[in-house]
Amino acid sequence: MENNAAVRGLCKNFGDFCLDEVTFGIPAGCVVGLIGENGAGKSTVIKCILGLVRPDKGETEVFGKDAAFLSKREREEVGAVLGESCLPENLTLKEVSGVMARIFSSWDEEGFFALARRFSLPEKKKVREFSRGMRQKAALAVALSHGARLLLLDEPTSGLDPVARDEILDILYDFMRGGEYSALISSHILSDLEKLCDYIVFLHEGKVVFFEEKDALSEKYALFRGSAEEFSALGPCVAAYMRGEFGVSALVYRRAAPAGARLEKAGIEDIMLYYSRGERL
Amino acid sequence: MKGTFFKDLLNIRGQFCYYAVVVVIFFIVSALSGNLYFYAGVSSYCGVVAPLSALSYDEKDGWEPFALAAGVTRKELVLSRYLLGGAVMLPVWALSFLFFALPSLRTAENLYVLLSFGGMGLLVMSATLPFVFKLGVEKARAVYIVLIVACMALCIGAASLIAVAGGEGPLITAAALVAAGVVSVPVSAAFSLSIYRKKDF
Repeated sequence: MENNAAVRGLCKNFGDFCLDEVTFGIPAGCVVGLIGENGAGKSTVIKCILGLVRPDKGETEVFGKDAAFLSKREREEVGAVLGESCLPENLTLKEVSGVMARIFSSWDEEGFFALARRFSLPEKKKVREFSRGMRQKAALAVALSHGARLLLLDEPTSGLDPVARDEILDILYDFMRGGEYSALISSHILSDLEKLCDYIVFLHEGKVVFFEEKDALSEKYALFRGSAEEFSALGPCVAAYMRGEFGVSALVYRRAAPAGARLEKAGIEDIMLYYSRGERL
Repeated sequence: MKGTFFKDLLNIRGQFCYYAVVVVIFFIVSALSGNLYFYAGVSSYCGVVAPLSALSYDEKDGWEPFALAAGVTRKELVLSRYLLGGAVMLPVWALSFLFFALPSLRTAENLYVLLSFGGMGLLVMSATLPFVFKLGVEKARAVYIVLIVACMALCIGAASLIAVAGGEGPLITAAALVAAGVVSVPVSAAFSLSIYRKKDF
């Protein structure tokens, strides 16, 4: 499948933290969820794709071109939401629209205000008077109003209440239904990503642990809970494990597990938790 | 660049009335006292304070990463700050020539003062903005204060020179300051851009 964006062998050293050979793609028409604990490098990867952080090594490609050499028109086809804040707080939405119309040649004012109304955002209030959720929605409305084919969203639902999160996810779901759009969404609220994503990239300490189709994950991994004796009988199918008061729990490769082993379905959160905090054999 | 410049104007519009009050007060004080240094100093101040305010808002709002991601180039972001500084400082400085409508102030000495301060305004802006791009607004404010103090010392020296020297010396100094100010802007912008191009957000 053709990728709308891809990173290959991305490395960036910050001294106390580094991205190490990060490689994955964002297939056209798909949503890729970027997961990992705080400080895993999710934001840095998104910033590298957007050209805000210069990688030490590796390639970032958007629409088949080196991301550093995108034309202005091509850059407009990438919509970004970078955390909570990015819109000028002293401006009203009407003024924000005026600014964006001077930045984006394909600015859709009507579409922007339609989204603002759908999000119940007041047009005449300054952005600084908005709640956190309203700011996120305003940033998302901007990202969806300049003809973007690729969305890069860094923690778009972070800090929002469940209702606001659900509204944002609905909007993203509608946006993606068109089929020709792609999105990379970083989040540590994994239930959000489970609703939306086709693929999952798991970053841990700057490295990609896996880049897989979401549905394949539940086929690939399973959870085991049992006694230490039962655990030792599992053999090499164990990806990571944790010892508890009542025995051992483990993330296992389903296909490699011995026949008859008691296995449960592993969610994305389980997979992330075991890879992040579990011990390896 | 249009969008960024327009956003800056909207962002700092609330401060324009403060600038206007300060400019009017210092204009009146200079006109009544016959001492143009008061007003000339204000015009120099405006060239830096406007881009500093705009950049301060941008840091708080996280605007720069957003603008860069939206396709605004680093060059446009840097140049728009110089444009903003010039757009605020030059009209304020140009207004100072209204003093020559008053016969008592229409002297060669005052002309040298106004020309010198125009050049110094551009020089201060050119010296400060690269620090702002390198260090951020808060740390660069300290540099700006040092520069303003240095400028005041320079002005006191220049005033003594103009009063004592007479002849063509002060005119040459004033013309040299204007020329240095004009040349410093593109040099400083190029320097700022080289700093900004290496910056990660």
